[in-house]
Amino acid sequence: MSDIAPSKNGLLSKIPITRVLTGTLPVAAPTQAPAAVTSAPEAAPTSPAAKKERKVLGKPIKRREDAELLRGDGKFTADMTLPGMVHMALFRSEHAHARLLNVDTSVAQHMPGVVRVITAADIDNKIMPLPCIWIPGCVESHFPSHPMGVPGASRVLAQDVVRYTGDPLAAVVAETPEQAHAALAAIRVTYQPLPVVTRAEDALKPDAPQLHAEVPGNLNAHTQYGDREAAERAIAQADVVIAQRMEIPRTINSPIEPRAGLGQYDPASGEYTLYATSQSPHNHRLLLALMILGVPLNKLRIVAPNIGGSFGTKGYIYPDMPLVLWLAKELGRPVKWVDNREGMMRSTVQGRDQMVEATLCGTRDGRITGLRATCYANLGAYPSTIGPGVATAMVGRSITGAYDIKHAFCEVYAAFTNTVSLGAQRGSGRAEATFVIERLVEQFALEIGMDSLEVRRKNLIKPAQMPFDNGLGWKYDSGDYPAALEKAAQMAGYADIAKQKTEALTRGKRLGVGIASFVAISGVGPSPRMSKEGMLGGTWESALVRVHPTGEATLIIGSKPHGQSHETTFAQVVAEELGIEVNQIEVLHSDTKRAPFGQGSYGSRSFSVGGEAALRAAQAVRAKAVAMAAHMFKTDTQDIVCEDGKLHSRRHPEQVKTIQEVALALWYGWDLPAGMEPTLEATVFFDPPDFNYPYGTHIAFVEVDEHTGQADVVRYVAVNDVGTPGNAAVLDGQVHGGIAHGIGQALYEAAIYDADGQLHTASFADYAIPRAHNLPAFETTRLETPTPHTQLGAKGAGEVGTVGAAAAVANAVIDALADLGIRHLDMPLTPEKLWQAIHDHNTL
Amino acid sequence: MITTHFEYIAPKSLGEAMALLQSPNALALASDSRTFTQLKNGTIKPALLVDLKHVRELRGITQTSDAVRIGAATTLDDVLALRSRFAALAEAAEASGDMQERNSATMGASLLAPASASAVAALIYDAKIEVCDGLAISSLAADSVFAAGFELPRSALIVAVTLPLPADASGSAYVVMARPADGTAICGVGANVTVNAAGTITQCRVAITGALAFPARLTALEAALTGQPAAIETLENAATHAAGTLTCVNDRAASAAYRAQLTKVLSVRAIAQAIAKAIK
Repeated sequence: MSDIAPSKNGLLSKIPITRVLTGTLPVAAPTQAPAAVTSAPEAAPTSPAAKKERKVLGKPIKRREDAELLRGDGKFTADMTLPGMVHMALFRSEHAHARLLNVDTSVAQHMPGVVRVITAADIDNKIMPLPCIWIPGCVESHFPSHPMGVPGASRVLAQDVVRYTGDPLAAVVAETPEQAHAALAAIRVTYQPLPVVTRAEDALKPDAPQLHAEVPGNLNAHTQYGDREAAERAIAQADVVIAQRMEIPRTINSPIEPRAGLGQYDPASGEYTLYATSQSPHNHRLLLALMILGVPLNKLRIVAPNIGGSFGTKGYIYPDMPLVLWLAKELGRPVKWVDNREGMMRSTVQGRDQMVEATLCGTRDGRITGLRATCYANLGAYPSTIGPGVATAMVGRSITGAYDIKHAFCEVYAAFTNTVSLGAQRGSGRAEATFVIERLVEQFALEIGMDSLEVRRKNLIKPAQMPFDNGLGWKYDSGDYPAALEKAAQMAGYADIAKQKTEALTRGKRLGVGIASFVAISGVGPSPRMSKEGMLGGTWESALVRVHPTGEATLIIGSKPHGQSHETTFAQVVAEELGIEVNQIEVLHSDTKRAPFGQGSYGSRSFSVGGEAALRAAQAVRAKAVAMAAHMFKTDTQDIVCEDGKLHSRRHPEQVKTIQEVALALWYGWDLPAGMEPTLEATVFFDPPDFNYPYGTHIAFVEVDEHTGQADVVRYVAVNDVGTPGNAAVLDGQVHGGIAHGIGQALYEAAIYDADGQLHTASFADYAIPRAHNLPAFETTRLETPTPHTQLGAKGAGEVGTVGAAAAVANAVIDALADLGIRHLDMPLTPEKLWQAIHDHNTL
Repeated sequence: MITTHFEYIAPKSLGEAMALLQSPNALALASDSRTFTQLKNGTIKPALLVDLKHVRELRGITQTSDAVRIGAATTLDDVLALRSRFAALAEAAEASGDMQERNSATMGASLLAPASASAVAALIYDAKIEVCDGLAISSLAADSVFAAGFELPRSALIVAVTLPLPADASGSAYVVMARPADGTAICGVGANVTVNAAGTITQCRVAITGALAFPARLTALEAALTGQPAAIETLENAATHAAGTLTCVNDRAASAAYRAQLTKVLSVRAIAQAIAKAIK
């Protein structure tokens, strides 16, 4: 909008009001143009996916979020202070499994500054247990009961029994955080230790310790995907059969910002407010209001300020959330809780943790004909908000990866153990499945003596097969999987790899090259499907676009950023559609009081689903502006061209209005087409017709030092297709971070529980995540196949980096050792593990 | 979270610092992350923290004709300036932390750290460590200091480390395999070697950290190499033999067998790099 300079001198100073009120403003009776008003918007498709030339969308403009964050001006939950605020600390169980014989808080209650100490008895029937809202479609499932009738439950404070080290069993509120923590040390708990089980397979054994009375044999769920008989027949008849047991270790989510919450209660209005690190403020509001606290939805407001990363963890409901709210009302003072790193590592949902027994079969000429996998998922102590579904459906339905495998079957046994509850970590389920299939493909290739690139060529789903039903519950929507493979191979110089390996050997390094092709199932939907998936939730997303009578716009979205740049990329969608500059578009979110209902962010859905809602709201606004302009120009809507924030008549090009002028005319509302409502705004709720299916191929180059076992990722090539891009730079950032996550899983990360269920990796001194110097400069590129499910065409982008990365790196490491006869090693591929493997095979 | 309440004083002079450290439950703070961690998890509860960062006598590097004296409160990043004569010292400092950590970490505290890399430098350069116990400053040989683990009484301080200038035609190097989580050495080896014009090793000091209970010189390896030609086979044979005689630490970070392997490999690499620098 060239005629609206950035506002510096007050809102009204720049508005050519007179142009709106005089001149071309129609004064005729509104009956003149009713037909135009009700006609469809412009005939030509305006969807970004269909557009050849995008002006704003996809461009690598700088993140609008960065300035405040880099200056330290960004407000996070822990930065917030309210008058009269007190501080909560949680007493966490020191035992992994024990009966609570006595919890003595008498000394703690009288410690300096202590306001209140509560245990389970104090909140009995006042705060309901936390529900689990994803009960996977099952052969069999068992959950601890919940008084509201939903199947899953974990108590806010443990009563009678604690089930993992970190299980909260008391809360202290004091005037200062230091006083609250000091009082924790004065709480005396008498435990009667119970036998401990920390691995899913062990928990399912007949003599295993039992965690929940309602869950016989610790079996939460047994789920099946695909056709067991067909898969077994294929295996029985196959020329080549590969069987491998693989353990995908548990990871600890490590966002920069630990979780935090601040609860407030206003006795005058009866309204609760929770400021919290929440990925899904609207969902958390519903769960807290309906199932946990029993308050009207309109008496609970959730505000999620800046979030310093989440990777899935902050989409879950945790005990601290209802506690700070309930205590705020009890005490008549705001109650704040801020976790520290150790607390986070001991209590926030952890990821992965699957033991998989997998069998793949095929022909000598490289065709994969069947796959069977049995997974043992370690759910931890309690069913987390959506943990049981993540650990089952997201793995089982994805187990064939990017390949056309006729006969596939996967079953998952999800078991409770004395560990922190399992939940999502970036790429959850899909990364595990990709790891399994990609390791098997490598072994199959080795077995038949074919380059694994060639095996992938033969078995990847072809573009002509799209949409492709994988037989396990996914219908891959679009894309050219072989093109991603070829592009990655070309970037990697794959034809030249033997030479590179020889060169590395002269430096005493074993060079391994690992490929991973993958589909990063994203977006989640539609809502009716969730009823079949057993997930208590809708999958729609909302957007409100409002063009101000001063020419700027406000976009209010139901999804929630926790680092992904919604304020930049979503503004780019609206800017592209309406021709308003990005810096003139304010993006609001994360406050349930001012946003339309929404769903938040998970499963790479924000842009792929919420972006479409924003686009459709912008389209509705554009259509209304076009109709209004047609009315003002006394012409029909087909005659109106809306471009660069201006609307003009094709027939009479001298008739031009800026979108601001149209918005102002709609604000005054003096002369509107019949039936048209004043103001230029629209709200859209969009429910996607299906998931969307970003995909790609990654190739990792790893050098292994034969003498120390040290593995270094020296090159990393990534080709991804996330459909229509929102912002190329933000996308690169997402991909880079995602790859780092995968490299972390492959080489460094593993939560270690000992036989007593003590977590040995509860600090960054013991739990390794990759650092900048561990990572090479990533070489990334994009293909662009818009999803046919939306006009925007965007596919999920937050997880594509991660889903294939661990598999690519593990494949590379094992490739480096393949000539020793090594076929598989479990992650993390630490130097000692690699040296030991080399040592063992060298001396055989 | 630090729940202990304590006084904090940053004295400017050594005398002032020593006096403060005599008060009950006082603790010296030398920017080491271990102290911060212990404060946070409550394993130490000092009444007074005496920050040594601003103590005049403890700061800075001074060079004389035959030695370099590094004040104990000198940051590890400042130590990097000594790279041209003390390559292994600089490499050990680099291995002790990233730039942010090096800008805070001090030479003195780094000698006391578990699996200290600076200790290796002190050992291979035959350093003297000046310790003040409140009454007097004594100069201790690195060899004796680390033999049973280096611990200071609560009221004593390291004042400085003095390194004699290495002979001409000598070179040094430090190589390490560290835990990826916190950078602690599983095995770190430093070597300081002099090679004469004939290509014979005339002087050789090798020290190790992380792999054994305490930082220590590998005297048998030194003896095996001194007077020998600076050839890779010589190194490998000697290192293999030396590693075989050691009793390495066995813990969750690494097995004893792996540490023995690293001792062998990293000794060879450290000595080879030192030789390469010596004959340059």
